[in-house]
Amino acid sequence: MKTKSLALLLAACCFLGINAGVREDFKADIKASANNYWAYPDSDLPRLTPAPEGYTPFFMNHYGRHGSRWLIGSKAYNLPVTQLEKGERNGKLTKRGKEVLALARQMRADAIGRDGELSDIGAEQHQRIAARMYRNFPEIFAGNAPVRARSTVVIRCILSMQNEVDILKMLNPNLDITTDASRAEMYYMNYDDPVVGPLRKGAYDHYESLRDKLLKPDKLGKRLFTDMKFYRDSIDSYDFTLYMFDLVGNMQSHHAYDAIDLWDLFPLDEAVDIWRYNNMRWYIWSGETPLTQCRIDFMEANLVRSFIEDADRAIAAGTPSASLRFGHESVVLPLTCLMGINGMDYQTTDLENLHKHWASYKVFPMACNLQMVYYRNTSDPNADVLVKVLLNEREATLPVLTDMAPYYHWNDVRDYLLDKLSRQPYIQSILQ
Amino acid sequence: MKHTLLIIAASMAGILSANAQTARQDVAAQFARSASNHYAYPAPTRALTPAPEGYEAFYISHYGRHGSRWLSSEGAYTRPVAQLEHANREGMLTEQGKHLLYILRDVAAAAHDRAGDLSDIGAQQHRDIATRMFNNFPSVFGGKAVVTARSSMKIRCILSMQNETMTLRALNPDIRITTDASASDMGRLAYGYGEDTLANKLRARMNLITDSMYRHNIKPQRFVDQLIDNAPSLEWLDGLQLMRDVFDIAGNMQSHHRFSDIDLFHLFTVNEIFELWRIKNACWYTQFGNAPHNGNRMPFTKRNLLREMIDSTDVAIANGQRGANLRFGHESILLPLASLMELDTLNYSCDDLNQLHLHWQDYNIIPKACNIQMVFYRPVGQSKAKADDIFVKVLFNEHEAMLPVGTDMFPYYSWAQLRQYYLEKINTDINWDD
Repeated sequence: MKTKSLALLLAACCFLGINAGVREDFKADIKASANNYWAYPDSDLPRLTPAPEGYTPFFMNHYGRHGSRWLIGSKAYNLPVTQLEKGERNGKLTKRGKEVLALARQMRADAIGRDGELSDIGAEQHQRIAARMYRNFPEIFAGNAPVRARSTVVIRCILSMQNEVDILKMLNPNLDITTDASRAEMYYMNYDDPVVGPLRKGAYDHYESLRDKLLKPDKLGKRLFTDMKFYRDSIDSYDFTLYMFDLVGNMQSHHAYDAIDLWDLFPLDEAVDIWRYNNMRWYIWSGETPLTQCRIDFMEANLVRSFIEDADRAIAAGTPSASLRFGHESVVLPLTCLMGINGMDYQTTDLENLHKHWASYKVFPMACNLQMVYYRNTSDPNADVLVKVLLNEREATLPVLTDMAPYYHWNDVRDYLLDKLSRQPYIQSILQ
Repeated sequence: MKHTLLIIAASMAGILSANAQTARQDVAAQFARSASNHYAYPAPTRALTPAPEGYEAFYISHYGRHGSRWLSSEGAYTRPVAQLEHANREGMLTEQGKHLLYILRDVAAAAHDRAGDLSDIGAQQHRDIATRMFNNFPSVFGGKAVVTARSSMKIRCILSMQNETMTLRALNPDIRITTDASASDMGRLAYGYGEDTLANKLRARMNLITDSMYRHNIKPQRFVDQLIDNAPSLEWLDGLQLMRDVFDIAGNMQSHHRFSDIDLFHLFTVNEIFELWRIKNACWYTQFGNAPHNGNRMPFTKRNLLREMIDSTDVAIANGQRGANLRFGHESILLPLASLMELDTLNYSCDDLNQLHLHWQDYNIIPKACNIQMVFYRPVGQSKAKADDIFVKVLFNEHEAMLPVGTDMFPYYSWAQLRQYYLEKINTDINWDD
């Protein structure tokens, strides 16, 4: 118990250091407030810590979200237009409101037939990620190494996978790459856990009670409408604010909108508050909180078991290989909570202060990914296998003691994960 | 011109008379052919004709079906298992029947949640096709070639595309590829849109015709008796469906490495195999081919696709950029497209479905991974060559195909003439209403 507390304390210290300043982060880059619409931030990746003396990477476990995409659902592009049109019909739009309506109409037209599709920027993100993966770990992607890649059955994920494996194959044509995207793999690629829906529903009130404090829809309303009484009477202003925030936030997913800036609609402090509201929702939907019996993130138990299974197999095989999986942020987020990466297993009922301890934007921008890299000692076959975790290609922490951070002893990590999974006995181990 | 027509007539006569003898022989020689659209892509054997003197290939417009796959519905696997399990529970299975049941249980278990998925063999087919395409036409895919690849939204098509783009990248690190699989493309690449949906009523009528062929020509008794005792007395047993289901599974084993040693054709007589194939052949023909039964209209469901292929070729010729437009979809699209394009003798119009197999064989047309490659040639060094100066040849399943305009340099044709012919044909008035 003492070692665990120490480990947690160490993790919390690092975590606080990392997470001090959501406001500062958004001030530096307002696009980060778009949370899961934030375009993969890979312009300033830090150098990776070299392997310990005598150790070579030989296996990678990976789960990555698809890249930047169009918004999902007919309301995403339609609701901003129809609500602004109410203002237009009644002559109640400001000059800015009219400009925004014109842009929203353009985006809606552009989005026809493209519901949730991978964007040009999304494809490029995955090409860059693959190139760095190869450059960072050439020992893994060498010779005829088998690379087993699979995707969920959603097209943007399959195309993300295609963009990555294409680049890996280009860099080493001898790689033995197999791909798949099948319902048969979905039990771990994106498990539809029946427990989760009811738990989320039961916790709805916890964040809805903070809605009025964080969402001030009048502020957006004043920028777009000339008549606030009309606005409050005719527009569902909370919905409108959230949909507009996503519409603006997702423009960074497309080259076509590179030159268009709508962030004046959401000045920094308002963006922070809207983000806080979204962050709370994601915490309820994915996090390890007593508000949902600390159970929801366990929906990724099968995925963690898949990681362990593939690692065991790779360690036994002895030759380099990689296991790549392409899916969704709604998997990556609970996965990081379940594994306790960077302190994301933080447990609290205090949603109002959540943002100081748990920040989803750091975990799940578009193309977010988890890479677990395994190392062996080439001169000492009996030495421990080591593992390092990269979250969005930055070295991350696990709540496991280590004498060589950011490297961990795989046996310790494996024990920790299996022990944690065993604490929820009613999750069936569905292994094929 | 007369000379050319004589050559064409002679070739067609040669092909037709050759086929009159060989359809039955073809199927008897290789039962895998009887699987119709499940026939695993036969790698090409004929060498290609060199480019015309002074010309080089610069652009390819392509439509290709996904590779080998699992059968498209789980019911295809579970239905025969359910029938045999029922017989088993009543103690009515013969030894043959039990043996078949054990095999089908394993296959159904493997197929669980995999209906329609691309198979390992399917992925390999596409890697091989891309490799040959690249090696056949280095002037198309070399250097900073631009490849635009699009797919139907069905996963097996997207993975087929992925196996090809991955292969092209391995062969040329400088190649520029963009991919897409979008609802906005489905109207052209796939089905369920526009004119294609107008044809659905017709297809339903065609189904009735071929259903009656099954009922009249297929006698399931012998087949069923080897599996189930006292079969005629069993009210729940649908012998014809059981026979057709086992035949489909038998035919699709060739799609998987893991099942390639399992032969279920031995449960059928050669004649049964031939008859089952013959009727399926008629299904494909009437549903998607140039059949008088559908008023010779089906090929026209793909006129938008052909128009798009012509449009994008016009753009490629105008901007002179080397590269390709690759489109990944389905045999149910490729077949009417190939008919519309009048490749070889595909567009054959045959009144008598009992004679059809003498002139038209689906295994020659729509195996897994079937594909059309339109290869365009221009004078060497002339990136801004005009349409008049462009030659085209069409590879159909990677053999050089005959096209519906004249030429004195087969397999090369004048693109301007072919383009004109297709555009006029595309404008044909079609009434879908009767």
